[in-house]
Amino acid sequence: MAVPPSYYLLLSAALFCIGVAGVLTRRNALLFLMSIELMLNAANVNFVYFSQFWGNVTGQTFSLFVIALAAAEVAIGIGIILVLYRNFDGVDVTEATTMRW
Amino acid sequence: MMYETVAFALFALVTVGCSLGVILARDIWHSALLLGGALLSVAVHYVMLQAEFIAAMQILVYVGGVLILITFAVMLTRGEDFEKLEGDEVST
Amino acid sequence: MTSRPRSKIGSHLLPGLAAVALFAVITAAVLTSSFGSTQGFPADANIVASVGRAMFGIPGADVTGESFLVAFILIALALDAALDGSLLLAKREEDGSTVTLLADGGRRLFGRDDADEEGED
Repeated sequence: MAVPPSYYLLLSAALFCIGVAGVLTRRNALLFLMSIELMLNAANVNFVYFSQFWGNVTGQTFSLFVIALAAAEVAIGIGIILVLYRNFDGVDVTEATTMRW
Repeated sequence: MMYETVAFALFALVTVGCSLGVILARDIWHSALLLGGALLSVAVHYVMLQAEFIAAMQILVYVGGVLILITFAVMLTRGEDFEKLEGDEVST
Repeated sequence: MTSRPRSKIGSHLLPGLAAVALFAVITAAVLTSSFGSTQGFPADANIVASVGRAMFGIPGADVTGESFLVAFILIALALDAALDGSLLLAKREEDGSTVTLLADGGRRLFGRDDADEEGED
């Protein structure tokens, strides 16, 4: 038989929890972005698996949207990180804690 | 069929291993490379789920676009972190 | 110069434990629920054409799904454009000229020059 649903759900949950741990733990803003990419990929795996599970094409369409928008969001995030680097002389998120400087 | 489960287990191991490496590696460039590995193995999962178009889009957009952007950001924000990294080691 | 990856474990234990607890909760929820059997796609279905037809509500697709899904991508694109617009509006202006994106750690704008400082290591 095909792979049971619980295996793919556990893979997606593992990726998501690793992304959450990365967001909460690391100080570098670029690692923050990379952990968010991991979380988005976890959601994508879920979408694609259940699209095949139900024989429905909606899941694949939504995962296409997520891929495109995640790329756009990373582009914006990197622009913000470069401005952060210019103003705080580093990409440490624990140093840039005030709205004005 | 057992081969499907074995293939799934192999690539799931690669994915989870690479993503653990992303958050645990000390150097940010190693994290970026391991993220590329994790995204590639997720694309392999998509092929196993009969979603070849999504797999192609994943490789094109994520590995070919997002990872290059992250590479440029790593290059541009290096600064003095390179020397600070050695003195920042936490004794484990 | 290349170096092998080294790991950083033990600096933040509590968020790691929180993530492991989240994984344990999700595992418990997944393993105690029952699913049906996988239906899968037909062998010769054209999935990309089905995606295109589902996005615009055109009937006659090999694989069915919700119709008119392009609404979601349009709303998301509008949100993305609004985000870019807000970043453009927030760019600081000095002497009437827009400050462009610099990646030098603020040395040109704020005069931070570590080469002049002494005792800095």
